[in-house]
Amino acid sequence: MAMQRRDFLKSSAVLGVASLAPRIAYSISEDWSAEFASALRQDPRLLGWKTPASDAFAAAALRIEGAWPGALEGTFWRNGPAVHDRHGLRYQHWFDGDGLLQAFRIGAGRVDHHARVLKTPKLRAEDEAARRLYSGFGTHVPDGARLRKPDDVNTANISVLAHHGELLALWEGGSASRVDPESLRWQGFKSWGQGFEGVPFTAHPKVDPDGTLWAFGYALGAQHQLVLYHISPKGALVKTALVPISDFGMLHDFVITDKHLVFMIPPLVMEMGMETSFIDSHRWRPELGSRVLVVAKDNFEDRRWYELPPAFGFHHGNAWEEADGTIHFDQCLDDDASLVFDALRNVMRGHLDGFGAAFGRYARMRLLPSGGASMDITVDGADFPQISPSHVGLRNRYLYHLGVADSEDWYLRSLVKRDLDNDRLQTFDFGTGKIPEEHVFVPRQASEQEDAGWLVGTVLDYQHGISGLNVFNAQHIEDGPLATAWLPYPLPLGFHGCFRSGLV
Amino acid sequence: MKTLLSILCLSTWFIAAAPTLAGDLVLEVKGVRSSEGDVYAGVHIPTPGVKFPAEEGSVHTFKTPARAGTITVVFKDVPPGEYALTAFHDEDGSGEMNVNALGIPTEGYAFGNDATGFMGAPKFEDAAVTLAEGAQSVTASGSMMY
Ligand SMILES: [Fe+2]
Repeated sequence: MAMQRRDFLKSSAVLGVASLAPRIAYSISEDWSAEFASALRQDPRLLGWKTPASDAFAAAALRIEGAWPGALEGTFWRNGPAVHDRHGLRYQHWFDGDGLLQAFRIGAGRVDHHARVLKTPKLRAEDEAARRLYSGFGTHVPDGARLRKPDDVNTANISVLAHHGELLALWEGGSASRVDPESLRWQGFKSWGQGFEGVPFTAHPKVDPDGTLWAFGYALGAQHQLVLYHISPKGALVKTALVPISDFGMLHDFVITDKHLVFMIPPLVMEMGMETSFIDSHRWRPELGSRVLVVAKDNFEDRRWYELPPAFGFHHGNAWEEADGTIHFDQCLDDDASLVFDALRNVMRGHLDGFGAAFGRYARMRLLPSGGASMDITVDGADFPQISPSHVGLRNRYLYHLGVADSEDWYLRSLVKRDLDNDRLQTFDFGTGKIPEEHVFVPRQASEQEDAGWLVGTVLDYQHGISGLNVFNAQHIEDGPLATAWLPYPLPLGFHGCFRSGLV
Repeated sequence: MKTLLSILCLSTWFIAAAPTLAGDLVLEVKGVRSSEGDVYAGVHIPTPGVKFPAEEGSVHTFKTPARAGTITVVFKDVPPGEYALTAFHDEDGSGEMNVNALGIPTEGYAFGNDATGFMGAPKFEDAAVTLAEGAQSVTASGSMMY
């Protein structure tokens, strides 16, 4: 199979002779299901990449360890790829699996869990045909169906947004999906207005403290373009723009200040015309450097460009600007995109070597009014950064992210609270046997303090084969979770979530 | 793509056919998903300087109320040559094929031989069938993609 051969060539060139033997062994076998199943029997960490046994499952009144804060009420939504295996094929990239939407409904000290695979048109067509029909993010499916438009392969599997009473499962290559918040059923693609049917919408929109929604999409084609969206707190499309971008490709996240949108564009370039998966159509071109595009919120035609060294990252924390116009922003950054090309693929066949080392480090950037720019990359492994929603676009003192507990770690293992004013860190190490996922900040009502609230997020206990929902006091995360609500089953590791008091 | 078949132009064949050489051209538009609106279909011929499927290359178009399933139209006494089918399903009855802000059609369309292009329309040759001299008929067939 062409892709495995290329993988082999690329990886062996980078890793040297020592890695040749296992790589050759992997390249012989095309059956990633059997390979993964066999690896899972040896290594329980891989439980996080196992497909759940059914498309919908639930558990009521979860067993709670610790003292669950009674004042925390609402719904914690999560999304992520889950259907890695179906119709006899195991996908060959973590990002390919069809989305599993989850709701943790929390109230009066009780937590209920509900999860459902999103039956997108893509998954319905495949189930009808009883085979995988489309090449995906990182899996090339030969002899597939005709691809008409990006939403034909929309897996709705990255994140979830509750905005103005509507629950949206987010992808990034095409439309957001409307989901029924009670049943968690896929309802239809979201169009933000006439002419915006099927136009790509990011999995990482940003919401101003007043509810205004800012988003983008990347549209790759004969002319690559960046789509900009300004959406009112009531969900109405206020304005949009199409920005042509040369040498452009996948762009996962962006960041906003109170006045600007900031796009850090890595030198990861989609080169059209290849019969392969989405990511394999990209080339890493470090000679291009990173380009930073700054667009005024009040005038999408007002655009400035900055240059920074080549780097690749998925997630930003926040951005804010000084009175003189200096913009500060951060991102979890790696030297290149090998994470997405190699590590996130190899895990699907049960290969975890180099997995942790491929994740990014916390980095802070500055854009100066003079046109200069600087990048300061720390040594701290970090990803899934979060802040208080009241500080989006404003100067934040605190940032919460997952971190590595030491350099030997194979993956993110700790929860970190970063005090940006004095670079002090508070850390909780989950220890061997547990894999934490993104923890979101939930403000406590009626408090002026930025860190007065909880951190809510999931954890996989792979030694006991179960997952749980943690709640931390954000002011003392080193004390460990206040409480964990344990599920009677494990959850596949996913990506992003959000918390809403109330149903949506 | 926006101009594809966007103007209805009912015309007769531009060449007066020699009856002995002419045959039937059968257009078959498959996979029409609903009976909403109209289906527009057109026959294109190779036209120097015109990029398929620009309407300047079409010699005949027709409009018919949509019917779920397959719509078949037979043209009699068509001169031998190469013919490419194009069609779209104007479900909202606007008289043109709707596209989104990126120019991607948001209504169903079809090309002959189910030909596909890369990030756009297919090539004329891929969507065309040949009505050979002396042949009784040829079918140009394509399925709607929504
Ligand atoms: Fe993300």
